[in-house]
Amino acid sequence: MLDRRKSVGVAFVALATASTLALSLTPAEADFSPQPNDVVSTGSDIIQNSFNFLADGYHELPGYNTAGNRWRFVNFDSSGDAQGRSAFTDPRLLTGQWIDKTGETITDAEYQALSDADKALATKYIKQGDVKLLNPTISLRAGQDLVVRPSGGGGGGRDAIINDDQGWIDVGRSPDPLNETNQNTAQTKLGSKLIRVQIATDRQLIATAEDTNAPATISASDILKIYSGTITTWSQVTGYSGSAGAEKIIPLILPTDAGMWNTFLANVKRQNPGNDGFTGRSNPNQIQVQQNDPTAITSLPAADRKNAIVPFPRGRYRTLNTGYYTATGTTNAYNTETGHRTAASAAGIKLLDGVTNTDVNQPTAPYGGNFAYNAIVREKDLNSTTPWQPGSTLNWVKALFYNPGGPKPFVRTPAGEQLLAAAGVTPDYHVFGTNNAEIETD
Amino acid sequence: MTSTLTRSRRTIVIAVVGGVAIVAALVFWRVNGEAATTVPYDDAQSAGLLTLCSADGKAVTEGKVDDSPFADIVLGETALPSDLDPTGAVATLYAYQPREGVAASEFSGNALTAAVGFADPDQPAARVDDGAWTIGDFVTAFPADDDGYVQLRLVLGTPEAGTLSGQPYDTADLRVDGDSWELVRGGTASCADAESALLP
Repeated sequence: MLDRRKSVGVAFVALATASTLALSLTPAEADFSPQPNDVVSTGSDIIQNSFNFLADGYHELPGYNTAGNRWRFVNFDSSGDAQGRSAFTDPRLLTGQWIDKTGETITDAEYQALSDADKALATKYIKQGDVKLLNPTISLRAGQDLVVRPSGGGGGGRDAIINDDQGWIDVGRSPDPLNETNQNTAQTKLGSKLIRVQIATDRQLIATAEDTNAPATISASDILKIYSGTITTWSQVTGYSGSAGAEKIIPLILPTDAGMWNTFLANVKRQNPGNDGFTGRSNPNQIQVQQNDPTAITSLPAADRKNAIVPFPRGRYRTLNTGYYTATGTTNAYNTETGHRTAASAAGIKLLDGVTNTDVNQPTAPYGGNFAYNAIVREKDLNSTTPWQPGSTLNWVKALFYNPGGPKPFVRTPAGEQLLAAAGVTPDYHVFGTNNAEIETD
Repeated sequence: MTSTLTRSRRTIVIAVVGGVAIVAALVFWRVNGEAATTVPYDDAQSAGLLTLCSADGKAVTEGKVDDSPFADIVLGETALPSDLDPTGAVATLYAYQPREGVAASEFSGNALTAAVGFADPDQPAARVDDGAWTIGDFVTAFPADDDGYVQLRLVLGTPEAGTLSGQPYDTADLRVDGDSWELVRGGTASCADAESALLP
């Protein structure tokens, strides 16, 4: 009896020891990497919020993955930041140059030679050109090689899926339509053309400061002239009757590779036919800013703030006002770094003509243009006979995005449409085939 | 005489015992409020039963698979956990596909409704609107291969806590046969005031 107890005791100790060893030898968990049958989406930052909502829900609203199915819908954010900000090199890590106590520019070596007293009086500065975008890598599929994070609707959405001969990206997020060249390239590289599924519509409008010298609306024609430099003061704006007529308008421009800049150019040209050469970068008072960022206006000096205008997506504006974004310096318990530029709300800005939904392609109409939230998928995935979830008959395209003749895909269900609305955009469903023509869906 | 008396007593005892058993069974059925039929799977997370109601306040226990909606309102019976702030609480109706030999936690499924606000945290409810999948849609996507069964789950959520995926939920079990379905296991809550269970 005693022997048996001893044996049990020894066995227990051995088991406990083995368990402890096993636990201590467990490797650290890496960031999530999708499994082979997970559906992976990359691309546009303006669209990423709505796709994140669709995948994982938001607050009390359940997303597709909330059902607990075996395979998941996984979205990679465009920049690695859930709030859509760009990731830059840390300026503190750059060698840079210094301005000494006399105002002279000195090298880092000269700075190192200074006395401690003089070092304390010197100021480090970094040239703008030395601050580079980071290219953070991610694992698109568990166990596979790392890749540079696909970023943006063009490069990281449409082009990424076209060039994805590994089959790691299933869905490209992009506001842009596809053209014949895209389709032919996809056919060549992937052995499949592409289907574009528009799941929602967002609208770009003009944002100003809450306290602004701008009128209630600005026509598309005047926006063309402002960004072309023909109009530089408020008195030149059609119908302007305010008291700040002599003040200079400050048109904020976006980087040329920003998706919202391309949307802006397209909208201006659409509303002002015959201006195909419009570049939008000819106003002498223009300032380049980050896209989709309220601080582009609110961080300006008060006098400039009242005269600033910038194209801004309404979906982001609404999402900002729901409290979705986090002020990383003040409200995040996990944050140890302060001083970042983060707009946690749209406080301080407003949208001109903010309630309209319909495009009016006339120069006299207020500036505004809808743009699509697209999911770009391979045609061969739509036609696949391999069901996605265990027990189901639907492949993943049919389960999530487009199921001709069958039960509505998740993006069209009440739950999906509720999530799109929560992301500040209008559920609006259209499907475009491999010839880029719209396919009737209902 | 003795023998006759004994037989009579035995008959009476049997009758009484039988009567008590019948009454007990009836009481049990009423108290538990469910049909005697069992389903061929266990779901440890199932905390209570769902009652399916029509818009005119009647219980819905059967229908055609193409009925849209298959019921207008679904009433739960398990309260929102009391430690949660009920402000903004919602319920979402899901359908799941039982599969033989597969644990309920591994069933595949889909949300049928949007997240719907309900009035009383003690009685969750959800509206099934016209845009929701029909039972036919569900079994097209997830065939009812386990003897025709489909499980409904009412999953709760709050803005603060998110969707309570790990919490127990109320369930109902349907059985699909051809172009019809019937409620095999469900609740017996009154549907008369079902509409009032939802936030306007």
